[in-house]
Amino acid sequence: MKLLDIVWKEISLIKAQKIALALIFIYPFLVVGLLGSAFTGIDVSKAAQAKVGFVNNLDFNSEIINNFSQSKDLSIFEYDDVNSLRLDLANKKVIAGVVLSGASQYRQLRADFLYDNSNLLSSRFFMEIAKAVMQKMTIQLAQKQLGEVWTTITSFGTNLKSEINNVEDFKRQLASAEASLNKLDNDLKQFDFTEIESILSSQKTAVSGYNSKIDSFKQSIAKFKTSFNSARSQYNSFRSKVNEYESRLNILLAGVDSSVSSLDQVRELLLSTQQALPEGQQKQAITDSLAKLDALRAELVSEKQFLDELVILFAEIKNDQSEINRAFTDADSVFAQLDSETQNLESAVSSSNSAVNTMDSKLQVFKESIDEIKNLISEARTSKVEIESKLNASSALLSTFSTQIVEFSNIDSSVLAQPVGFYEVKLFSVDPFGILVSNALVVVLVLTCMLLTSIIVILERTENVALRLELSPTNKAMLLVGKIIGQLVIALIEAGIIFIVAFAKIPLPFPILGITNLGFGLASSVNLFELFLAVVLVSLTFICLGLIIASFAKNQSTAILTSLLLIVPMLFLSGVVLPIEFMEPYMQLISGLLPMTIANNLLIGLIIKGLSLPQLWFESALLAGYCLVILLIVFFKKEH
Amino acid sequence: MSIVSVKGVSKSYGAKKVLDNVSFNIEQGEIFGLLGSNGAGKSTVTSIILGLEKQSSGEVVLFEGKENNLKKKVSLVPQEAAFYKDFSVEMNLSFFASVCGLKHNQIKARVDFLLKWLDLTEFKDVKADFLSGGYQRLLNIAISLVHEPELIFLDEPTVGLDPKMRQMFWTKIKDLKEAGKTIIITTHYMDEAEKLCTRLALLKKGKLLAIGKPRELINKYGGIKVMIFSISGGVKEQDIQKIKSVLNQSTVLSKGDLLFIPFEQEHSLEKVLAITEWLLKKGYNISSSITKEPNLEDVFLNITGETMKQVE
Repeated sequence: MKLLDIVWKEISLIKAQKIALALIFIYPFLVVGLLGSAFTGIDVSKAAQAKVGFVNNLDFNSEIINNFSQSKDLSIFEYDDVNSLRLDLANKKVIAGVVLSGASQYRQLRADFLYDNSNLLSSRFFMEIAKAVMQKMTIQLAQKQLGEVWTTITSFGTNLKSEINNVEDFKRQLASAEASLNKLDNDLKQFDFTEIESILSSQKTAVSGYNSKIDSFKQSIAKFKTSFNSARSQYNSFRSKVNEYESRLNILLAGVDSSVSSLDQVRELLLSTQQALPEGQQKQAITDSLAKLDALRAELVSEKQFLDELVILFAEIKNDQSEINRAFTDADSVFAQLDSETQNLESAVSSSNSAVNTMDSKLQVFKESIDEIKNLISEARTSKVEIESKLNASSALLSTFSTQIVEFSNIDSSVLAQPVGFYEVKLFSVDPFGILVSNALVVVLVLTCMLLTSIIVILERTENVALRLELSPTNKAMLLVGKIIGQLVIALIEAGIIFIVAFAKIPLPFPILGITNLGFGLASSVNLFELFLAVVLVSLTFICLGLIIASFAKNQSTAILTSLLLIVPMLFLSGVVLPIEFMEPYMQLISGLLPMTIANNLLIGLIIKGLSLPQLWFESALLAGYCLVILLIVFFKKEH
Repeated sequence: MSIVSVKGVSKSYGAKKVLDNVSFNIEQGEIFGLLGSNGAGKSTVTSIILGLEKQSSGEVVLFEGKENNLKKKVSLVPQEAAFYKDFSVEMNLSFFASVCGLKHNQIKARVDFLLKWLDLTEFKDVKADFLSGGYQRLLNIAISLVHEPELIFLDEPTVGLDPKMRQMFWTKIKDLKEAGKTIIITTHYMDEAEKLCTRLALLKKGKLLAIGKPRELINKYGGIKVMIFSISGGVKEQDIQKIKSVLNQSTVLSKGDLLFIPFEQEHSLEKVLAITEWLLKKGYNISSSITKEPNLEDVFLNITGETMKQVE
């Protein structure tokens, strides 16, 4: 019974706390309702609504682009360049990004999957979905490529079979050509070239000798006859002229004697002139003239001797005229003998002619053989053209094979198995702990500032201190500012501790529970002054929320429960715990207006995204707006 | 000098009227008591005078309108502890001295004075939460006096205190009066009001029923004396009727062992003796008898129709 009484007492006490009770009953509905309405839509089928940015950096046309662009599994937005995509990704206009690059279809394409790693889960989740979609397409592509390779190989097989037939034809043609050549070879072996050559050679020699000799002989005889007759007539005219020349010679001989005596006189005269002249040019000229006169006299003397000899010769000629007449008679008998010899020669030529006829018949055989050879050559040419065309066809076919095989050799071995390589690209260079810093900061600040502020304000009120302060000469604004600054100091200390733990790395003198360093040594290029301002703004916002809760709550328990009433949904809907992107669109809108979401975005922007405070003006302005509105409400709200 | 002047003040919350045309005046150096049951309007009047609430109609003038910064001249000593329990005594005093506008160099002297005046010096470094109830009340007063106010509101200042501490409180309050401070006390201790207050105002349901010095109110509204006998077994009805007829008092009352006999003051002794003798003769066993003088309790009862205990 006692236990029952205690239990009943406890329930009664709870019942007495009307607001707390109301909140306790509201909580389950609120949390379940909020989470339910926010996240009932979480399933992969909804991923089709997920906005995924896509940049096509391929240097060639690939069907994977069309397939991906028209994918119904995702909502694809095409971008011209990676920077625009990164910007929209950072601003959460798209939830994941794909950059496809590659120079050739034979090389593995590169698919960079960009995701906003400033949150722990959501962007990566959708990135994985985008990856899965792309993987599905690449598998389809790989299957298609393998199909093409298979078709090509099958076609190789068929074509090679026809090629083997061609080679067989070729071999048959070669065998036929060989048989023809063998026959020709036999025919040629039977042909006696030596005999022909010897006959031909003797005939050639004989004919050429006979013919030329006969001709020249005939010509010689004719020429000799002509010359002989001419000589006979000339001899007759010569005889008359000899008589005439004999008389003229006697006259010439007398003239020469007279010229020699004239020359002797001129010489004597010149010799005396030479002696009379002094040494000089004239004397020399006379000396030269004397020499020429001497030469002329000697010539005249020589001519005179010649003429004397001619006188003697004329005498001898007159003596030989009878012997010449006898010689003429002998020559006529020789001419008769020459004519009979010519007839003999002509019969010899006739015999040679019969030998040439034999040679001609042999040559006929030879001609036929040559014709046969010509036919063979013609056939061989035809076969050659035929074989050439077949070889050309084979060459073309093999060239196609070669090209295709070369093309295949161009393909990366990995391409057939995996046409696209997948690479994850984090939008921000921060490790998961870095993400937690901003989240942790927001959670700590929201709890610290809201709860502490509301509790302290209620404490002052319940302990009547608030009344005392209200009655004091210090104005309300100063009291409010003092309170806010006090809370702010605490918040900054808390934030400072978090930052020290996050950013510092101080070696401990000795390990404590295996920990060797104090702090995680997180690298960040955050502007400390801007971070300080941001923390102040965030803290102020939550302090103001604490103030407004306290101004409506009557006691601490109500204040705590009311704070939690705000904190819990904010925690769930701000993206700190659960991803905003999984929520229904209207919930995302509500989430975006929550101070904790804005604070989270602000701190993530500064710490993780490396943005500056002016770039985060919208979040800053929203928080400042919240502060201002709440402060005005708190300041002008009448206390009872 | 009139420190507080309340002229025809009314206050309504919607249709409910919590103050109805209340007027009174408090002079400098007075200890003014506000008496009334819950909902009588004491807190509303106090809040309006302190400026915490605005009256619906009427006028409240403090210090004849000559003070610009009333908050420096007025102070409230709440019934409950109104300080930071986690701060030490001295820290509480210093903080509120600063908030009340004392200069840095004035604070220590003022705090030391108050610590000494209220015998809190030895507790100055003690956390306020660790003080006994009585000392917490003293600290409460000390904080309210830190800026030397001229008008001090004391809300039930001695509730829960032991007699010794009550006496001490009364002494300190009188000291303040001697120092020229004007004090307004809300209390339901009639003896406290009677002994401490120079004047009293009695409120009921927002109306000022009576105002005046305690003696004047007792004389006016306190009624007659009552003789109370404690008789084991009670008194028979015929004997009660006999007493009524002899005394010509129809209000003679018997309840249990007690017998109440009201009478005029001038005949009290004779009548007490005569009735005592007669009852003893009749064989009644009188264990005790007292004579109850009229007091503020009676005034309260007579005016409001309810006792203060009922109010509590």
